[in-house]
Amino acid sequence: MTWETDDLVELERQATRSTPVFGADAHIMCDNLVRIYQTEGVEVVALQGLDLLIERGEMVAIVGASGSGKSTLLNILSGLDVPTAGTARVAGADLLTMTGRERLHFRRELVGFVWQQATRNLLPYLTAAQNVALPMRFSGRKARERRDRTALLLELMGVEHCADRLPSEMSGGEQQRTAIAVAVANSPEIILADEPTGELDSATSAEVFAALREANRELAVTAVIVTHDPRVAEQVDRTIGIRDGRTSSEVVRRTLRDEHGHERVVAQEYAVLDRAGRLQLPRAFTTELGMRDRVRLELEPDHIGVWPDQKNEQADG
Amino acid sequence: MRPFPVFAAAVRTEAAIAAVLGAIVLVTSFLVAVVPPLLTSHYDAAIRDTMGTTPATGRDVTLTGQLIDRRAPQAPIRTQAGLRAATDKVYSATPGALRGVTEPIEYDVSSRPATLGKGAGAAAASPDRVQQLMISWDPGVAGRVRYVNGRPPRNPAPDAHGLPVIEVGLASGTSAAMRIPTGAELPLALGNQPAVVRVTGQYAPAAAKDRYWVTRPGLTGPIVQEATITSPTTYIATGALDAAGYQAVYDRTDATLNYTWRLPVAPGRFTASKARPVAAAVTELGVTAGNLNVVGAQGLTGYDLAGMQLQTTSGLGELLSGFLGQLRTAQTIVYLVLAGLFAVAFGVLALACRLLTERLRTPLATTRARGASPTQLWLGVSAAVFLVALPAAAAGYGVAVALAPGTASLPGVVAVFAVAVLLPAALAVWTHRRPGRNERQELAGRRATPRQIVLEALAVVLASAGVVALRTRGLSTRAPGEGADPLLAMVPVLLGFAVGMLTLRGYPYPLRLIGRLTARRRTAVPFLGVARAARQGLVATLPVLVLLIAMVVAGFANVVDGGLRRAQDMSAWLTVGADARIEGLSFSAATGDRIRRVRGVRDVLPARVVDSSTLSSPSRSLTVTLVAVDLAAYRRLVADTPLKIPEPPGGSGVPALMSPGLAERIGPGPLQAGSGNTPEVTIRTGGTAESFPGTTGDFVVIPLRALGPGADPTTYFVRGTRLDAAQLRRAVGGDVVVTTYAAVHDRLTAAPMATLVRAAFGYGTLVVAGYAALAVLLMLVIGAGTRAQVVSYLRALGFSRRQSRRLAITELGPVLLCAAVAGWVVGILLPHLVGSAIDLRPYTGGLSVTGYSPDPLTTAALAAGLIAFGGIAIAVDTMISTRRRLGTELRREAQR
Repeated sequence: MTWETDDLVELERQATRSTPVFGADAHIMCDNLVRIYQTEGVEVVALQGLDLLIERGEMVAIVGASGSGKSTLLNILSGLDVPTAGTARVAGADLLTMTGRERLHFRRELVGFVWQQATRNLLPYLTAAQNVALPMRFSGRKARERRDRTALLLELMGVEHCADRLPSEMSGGEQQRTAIAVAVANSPEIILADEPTGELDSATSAEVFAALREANRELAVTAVIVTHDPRVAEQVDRTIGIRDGRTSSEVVRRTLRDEHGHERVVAQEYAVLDRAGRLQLPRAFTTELGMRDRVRLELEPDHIGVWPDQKNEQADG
Repeated sequence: MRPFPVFAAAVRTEAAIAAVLGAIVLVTSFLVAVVPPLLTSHYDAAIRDTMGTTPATGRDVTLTGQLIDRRAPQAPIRTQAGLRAATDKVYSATPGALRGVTEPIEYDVSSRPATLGKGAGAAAASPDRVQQLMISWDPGVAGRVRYVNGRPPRNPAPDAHGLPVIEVGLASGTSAAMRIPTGAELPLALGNQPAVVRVTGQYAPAAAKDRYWVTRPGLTGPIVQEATITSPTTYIATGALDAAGYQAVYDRTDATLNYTWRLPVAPGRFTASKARPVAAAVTELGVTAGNLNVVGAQGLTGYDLAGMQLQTTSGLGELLSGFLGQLRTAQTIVYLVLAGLFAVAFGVLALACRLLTERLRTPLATTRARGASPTQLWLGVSAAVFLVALPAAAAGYGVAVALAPGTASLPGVVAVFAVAVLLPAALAVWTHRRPGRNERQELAGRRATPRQIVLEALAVVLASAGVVALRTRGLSTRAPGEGADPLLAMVPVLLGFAVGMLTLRGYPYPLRLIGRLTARRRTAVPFLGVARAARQGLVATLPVLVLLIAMVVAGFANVVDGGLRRAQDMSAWLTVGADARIEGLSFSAATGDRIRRVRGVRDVLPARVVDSSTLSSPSRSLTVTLVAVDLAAYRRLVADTPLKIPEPPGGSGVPALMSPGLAERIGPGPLQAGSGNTPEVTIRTGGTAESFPGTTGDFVVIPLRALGPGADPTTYFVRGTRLDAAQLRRAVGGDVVVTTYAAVHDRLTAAPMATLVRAAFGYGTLVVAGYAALAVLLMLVIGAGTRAQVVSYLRALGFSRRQSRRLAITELGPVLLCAAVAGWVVGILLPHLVGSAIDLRPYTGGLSVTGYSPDPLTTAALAAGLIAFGGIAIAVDTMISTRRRLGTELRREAQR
């Protein structure tokens, strides 16, 4: 029976040993996040064990097909929705255990968001300046402070000429830039944007993206952008792909300087290996090689080889 | 931090909806401010009317006592001061409630009438006419008369011929009628002692129309007692004494003195709320006055024979209890109608609040997502709505004050205002309690939570318990004077609510079944419409409940009103028996022809009706009303009226129709019917009739010819149009009583309480219908956005405009129809369910209202109105939704 005792001792040792917590120093951390909706009795699993780490000051794009769970993720990160299971921590706040009061503080002071539709971003009957001042009103800032910061933000976003205009009197780009100003009004640590350029033409969309980039750099705000727009996705540090409610791939961009001193952006695509060891192979790869149902793995000294199942191949052949 | 302007701006963007909310607040405030005091003033007017139309003698409270034996010769009451002290004593024994509704107490003292001898001034006396004189001291007379000849009495007067002389004045009318001249000295036995009454002058009332004389007919003319079998016609003169005369009579004669204290009722001082305490006060006075020592002598109480025991007589108690019966019923009905009305009004108010918060959903969601706390949302929305509701409530109250100055009640207005201000805020906070959660929840079909199901079950249980309680103990609380139990008054509303919940839960199932059937058909509209209707779920709960309760109120009002109308009608027919009934002692054969010649008369039927006839069998005899009439002819006469006259019983001899149970009570054997002036006939039991027009109590109906040729008719049943009672009376001549159906019917329907009850039904239904219409319109407006999106989507798929219009009908029709029908059915059944709580007999002359059934005409009119309104509503809805551009709507949808 000694081996059992040994086992227990080993377990105990493992339990008490301090291991670095997953994403302990990340600005946004999601671990095995699950969100299930019920629609007319049918369960829809929008997120099925999603892991995500975003560092402070990063600008990250999240891409994926419709229904892949992007917006659900963003709603959870903005504190507007609560996950069914898993862990989500944003700017030090645990999104699962927050009280109502904490959640309110979180939305007021820690995160700002920009939605696709101007109608959801801006109140139609308030001017741009009033809209920007609104979150500051709710958090009880003084009138003078509100005025100064509103002017500063409108200028930073390049829409100071719209200060006294109603949203209906502004162009789509101006509306979205004002929305970004609203989102950062209370100096949040994180800005979350859900298809902020979805309704805009390419020129305007570039302006809006520039404004987001401005906020990210000038105000040192971590920015998470859900987008379909490849031009946006190409301009961020990191693009995270979501498939079927899980993070599936990542494209990391690095700026390299060659021997002539020319800067070059290098994009490298990675598949995401989650904490349980799961890996999603890009569909293009599996289709190309006719991989189905199961694959053969082989551990090599410096990599893992993945081969199509022989039987399958023969059967297909 | 002032987030308020943000919300004010938000409400301003929905100015139209805010205006609708304001209008509803205004109307509802007006109603709650004006209806309760209006009802109170109607009740008050009704009791004043009841008091005002009753002769003073029938309503005044009088206390009478006799002083027979003067064992207390020095009793204080013999002096004027003593009399006044006694009066004060009586007045102070009068309960405050009674004093509050009466004029200052009055009193008089009079002797018993004594027959005038054959002496001077008795010239008019004859064998068939007796003349009597009584003497009276009434302190109010002297100031209200002027002497037309002679002089006022001056007592004490010196004795004449050893007899005490009492001087009196006589009304000139009395002098003339009884031929007693001024100066006449009339020997009169006052008590056991002879005296002389000297007439010193004749007076006339200074103001003949003075209310004072109404209760003192003897002081303005002779009291004439008609001859009876045992006594000839008697004329009684009343001699008016002066103040000293009273003491002279007291001291110098041993006349039996009747003391009367009168509390004249002042109808104008009555209010409905005083009825019960005053009725109690009258009873109380009867007890306390009996123990009062008004004589003032030491050691005497009311029970000493030598003293005087006061008897209280008054028709007031009976008058009040009749009124209270009517009041109770009126209040019951009004409570039931009002509870429904106010439930509907508050429902519509809530609906308008919901519409407002629904319209503000996006801006409120944005503000909440941008960091507005629930408290900020609450304060902001309520402050913004405050700006709309305050002027509206103030205006409603203002109009109420202008229309009913001094009585408009404020608490109801405050309640309406509070609901209008707090409800939108509460709805906003509840809807946006979790920011950003809305859209997904909209997608998800709303299933009833266990809490909802428990609440609904509770409503059903409460409603059932309420019905049981209402049936067993009526609407009034046990404690007298407490009025209606508010919880029980809410029973119809609860019932409507419960049925509404069951309807809403139940109707999707058959609808889905229909949906399956329509799915197989080629046209898409019924399939889509029914599918959407079945899935509307609880979205339409509030408007459906409002519509349903409104229909409950309308159905209830309609059925009870119809029942009351029919009962009044029937009661009038039963009272008269035809369009007119002429009654007299006996009519000659030619009378019928004379009646026929009166304008408007169509048909005449003679009958002999003898009250207090005797029906005897070998074992016993009973008093019945004997009606001798040609039953077959009478049946033909009243064939087109609600009266149900049985077929004439056939068979040999004289078959008689009897009132229920009479045959059993009289026992077997040969039966004799007849009376002093009607020949006896031998009859046999031919059948039973529930009632016979014009009779109360037991009756026996026999053929008129059975009485033989000698029996003249006493009654004519007359049919005709616009019969004039006066013309009929003139045509017949002599002393006859003419009762017309129109007069009896008018008396029943025009009674203040009866009109009030019917007005409550009428106006209640109208107001409720208005609110229900508003509820349906609001429901359409609330759903218009979503429907427009669906329609635009379907139109993009190739739906035509006509099809989209039909879609609106199939989508909204079923739920509205279900609610309307369910409400109507509950309304119709309600009187049966709570039947015992509503006693309409005070309004029908005692006839029970049975057979509550809906008036087919009204039902048809209502159904037609509903269909027309539904059509208009849906047309308006389609107009709104088709006016929107397809592109705009699709874009709007994309933005959601």
